[in-house]
Amino acid sequence: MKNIYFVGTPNKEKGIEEFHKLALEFKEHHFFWFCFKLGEGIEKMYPRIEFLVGFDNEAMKERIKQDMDAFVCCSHFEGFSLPIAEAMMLRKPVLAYALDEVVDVYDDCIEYVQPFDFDRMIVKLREIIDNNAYKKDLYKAEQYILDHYSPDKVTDKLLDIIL
Amino acid sequence: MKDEKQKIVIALTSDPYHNIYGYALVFIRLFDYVQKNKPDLSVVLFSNDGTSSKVVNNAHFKQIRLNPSSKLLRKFIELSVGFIRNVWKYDKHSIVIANAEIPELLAACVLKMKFKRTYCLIQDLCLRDTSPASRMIHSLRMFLIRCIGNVIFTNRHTMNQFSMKGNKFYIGNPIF
Repeated sequence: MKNIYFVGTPNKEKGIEEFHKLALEFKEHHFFWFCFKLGEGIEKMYPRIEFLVGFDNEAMKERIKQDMDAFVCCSHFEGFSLPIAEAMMLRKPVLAYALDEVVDVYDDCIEYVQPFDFDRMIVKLREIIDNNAYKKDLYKAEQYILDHYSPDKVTDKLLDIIL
Repeated sequence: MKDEKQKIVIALTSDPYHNIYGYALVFIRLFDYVQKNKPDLSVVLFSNDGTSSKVVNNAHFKQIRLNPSSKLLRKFIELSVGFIRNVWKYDKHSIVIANAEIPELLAACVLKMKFKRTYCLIQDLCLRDTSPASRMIHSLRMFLIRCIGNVIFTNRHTMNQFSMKGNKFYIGNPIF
């Protein structure tokens, strides 16, 4: 059984049915899903999925991040998407919606699917967790974050602007 | 030789009471890092007493206490007024940097009258839903950002999408 950590609320029109498909496809695995409230009906259908709403427990968040085997970002509103960078720093495989802003930040260091393309997401997620087909260099991804977004680098840029 | 006065950087952010998975924590951690690693700067951060402010321990940072159960509008106003009242007494050459929520943006617009070097730091400008209240808050946010005029972005895509007359800068996002 693998731990898969999701961030993003399924879209009401496009996402809920696909969410069921995804949950059934990976029913042998353990999901942590950080999203807005989906409703008790859905949550009761999937007792093995831990729905996380309004994270206020830093220790629990850290534990989930450390234990995850894959991180999936299916949020369709992102500016930077910090959880992706945090996952890369832990050398975890990442699959995200190919939003312009996310691709701009993370380049080719992670896997992408088009927003709401859950069929492709299932295929890619299988590649990541099931059959050792995942080929991305996780060390390179970690180094990419260190090179571009280390606190030192960002601080220097900030001080160049304001001083 | 005349001693140069230590530069003062004042950072402002609101901090949710029930959610730690936001950019308030990143903003607070960034200025905590600057304060601890740049001894030639005096860094003061003002926030309310939310969840992220409790995670970062820095004796130089100051919290404005609010009643978490108050109505949102009341908390907004109390925090904006708190920011203005606390920051106004600093030297006018201090540098003010606001995070991107309404209370600190509103305060930064007022503080710009005294502090010439006032900035805001923007993570993203997405409209999360199309309800009238969200649209109104989004429009107010855009207006306040344009009033401040010096905008620092954490991603280039958002920076390129945003049209304004003032100054745009890019720094990326620190990953701790």
